[in-house]
Order: sequence, then C-alpha cells, then structure tokens
Amino acid sequence: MSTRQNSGITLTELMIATTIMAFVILPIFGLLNYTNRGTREQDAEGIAANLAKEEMNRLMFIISRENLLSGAGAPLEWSFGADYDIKGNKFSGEYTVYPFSNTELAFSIPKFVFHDPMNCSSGLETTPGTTLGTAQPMTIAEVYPDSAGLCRLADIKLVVKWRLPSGEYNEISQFELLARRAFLVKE
Amino acid sequence: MLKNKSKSRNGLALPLVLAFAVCIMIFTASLVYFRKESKQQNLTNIHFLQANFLAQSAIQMMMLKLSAFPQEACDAGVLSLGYCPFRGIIAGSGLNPSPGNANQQGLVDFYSDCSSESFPWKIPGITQSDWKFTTTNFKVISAYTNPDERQLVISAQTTAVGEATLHRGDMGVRKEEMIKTVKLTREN
Repeated sequence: MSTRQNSGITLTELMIATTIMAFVILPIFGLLNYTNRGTREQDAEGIAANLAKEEMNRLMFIISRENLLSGAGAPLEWSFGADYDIKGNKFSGEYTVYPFSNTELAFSIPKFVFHDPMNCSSGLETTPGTTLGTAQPMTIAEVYPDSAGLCRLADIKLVVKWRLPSGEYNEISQFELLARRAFLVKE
Repeated sequence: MLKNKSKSRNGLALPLVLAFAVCIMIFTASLVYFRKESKQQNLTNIHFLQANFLAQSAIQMMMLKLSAFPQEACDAGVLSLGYCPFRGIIAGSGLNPSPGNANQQGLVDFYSDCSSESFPWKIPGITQSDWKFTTTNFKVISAYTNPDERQLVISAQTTAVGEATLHRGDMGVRKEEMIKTVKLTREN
C-alpha cells in the first residue's frame, strides 16, 4: 500500500519536473542559439578590425603615392578583394582618397626678426622676446614651386564591412577608419 | 524500515530538477555576460584603432611640416633652448642658457596648426568633431653642433593626440597619444 502511494507521488513529481524543465530548457535553447550567433558575429567583427588595421597600415605606409592617388575621389576596393573569406564569413572593404593641393597647405611659420648676431656674442640669445614676430602663413607651393603640382597630403577613408554565411551586408556590421597621409618633401 | 527508506525518496525529483534548472540558468547568464564582454572588447579595439590612426595623422602632418620647413624648425628649436638662432649653437661651447634667454613661442607657432581644426578633413559626409587630432607639444630634447660636418643636430619630440567618437555601444570619446622623436639637421 505504502509503495503504491510512493509511485503515485513520483508520477506527479515527474510531471511537475517535466513542466519546469520545459519552461526552463526551451527558452535556454533560444538563448543558446542567440549566443552562438552572437559569438560568430563577434568573431567576424574582431577579424574585420584586424583586416582594417592591416589595410590602413598599407595605405598609410606602404603603397606608393602614385598608386594611392590613382582614382582619388572615387571608392576603390581594398587589397583583400571583394567577399574575402575567413571561417566562412565574408569581408569587404573600400577606401577613398581625398588629396590636398599644395596651395591649400598654408602652414603657420615662425617669423624670426633679424638682429645682429654679434649682439649675442656669447651665443646666448640676449633679446628672446623680440626675436620672434607674428607667425606668417606660407604654402608649400610657395616654398617649393618646382613641385607645386605634387600632392603632399591626402585624407583616406576606409570602410570595412562583414557578413556571416547566412547574412547580408548591413549598416550595423561595418565601421570606418580615417587617416591623413603625408608625402614628405625630399628636396 | 522499507517505508522509511521510501519516504526519504519523496520529493527527490523536484529538488533535482530545480537544482539543474538553476545551474542551466547560471550557465546561460554567464554565456550572455561573456558575449556582452566580448562585444565590448571588439568595440574597444575598433575605437582604439580609430583614435590611433587619428594620432598618426597628426604626426604625419607634423612630419610634412618638418620636412618642408626644416630651417624654421631648427631655428625655433635653438631659440627654445636660449641660444641665438642667427648664431646657432657654438660647437664645444660650455654655455648654460637660463630660462630668460629662451623663447618657446617659435616651437608653439610651428606645431600648433598641425591639427584637424586648422586643416579640416576633406572627406564629405563625416562629422568633423567625431574625428579630431591635434599636435599638443613639440620640444627639443638635445641639440649640438657637429664641428666636423659643420652641422647643427637637433633631436626633438612631437606629441600628438587623436580623439575619436564612436556612437555604437555608447563608447563615447577615446583619446590616444602618440610620441615621435625626430632628428633635424641644419648646415651651418
């Protein structure tokens, strides 16, 4: 009699337990799916950041002036090509170059007011306050007229986007890097 | 005895299931937490890259200016140390300039316009205030005249700051500082 009663209770318990399990497990499966997709997205985002860094370093320090400036003003495909595949995820990037003209590059230059250096015979400056006048703007084109047409400074915008195998490129899965590159004067 | 033993098994399934459910919930919560952390780490990484390349942009501008106007940079450096820029630094002199001989304004004039404010981005469609860079300092750390080559040699340090604003994930503003040391020479 006692044993029979026990098995009845166990059945009720089992039913309650199954219901609790169902309420707990089912949402958790959804969460696991969400987390799994999230992990893949994070992974892709991390790879995209590394690729963007590599590409921007190439644009800033490796690619020649001629190659960088060819096609300036229009978006150009990055060096990895379209839909670059890593772990099944796809990565695309494009960069646009916006050059400055040398006449735009009017730098502020310290203006030295000449005085007889023999007044500073010891070598130390005797009139430090009056040796400098107001800084004057001067363009690179003025200082280097022979190479005035040569671009010395350019802005670069790199946009990198990524997608999972099952997804599409979208506004959220992308970011941009901006940088300015100089081409030094070697004259 | 048997009855007692059976009684002790009463309600065992329920606590077990509840304990299991709690464990699963903790596991899931930790998964969600780590996912959030990982997402934040990626954003931090991207934000760092943005600010770092902005600081690099300021250094690039400064390098361009130094290469285009080396004479002015050297003269400003010499004056900042307290020496007469029209004499340079006399080789072998044991002079000890005082702050009263020096004028830092030349260096300030030289570096202060190497910024995104003085030369705004040419990139259309961006918010200029989200992508800022500036050169914050330019100072001479050593200078001497090499008498054999009749050359003034100056080592100078440029400090630049990049400031990127990332709106995703409420990341806000990130600043990155970059320091570059350069050697400038001028024929005497």
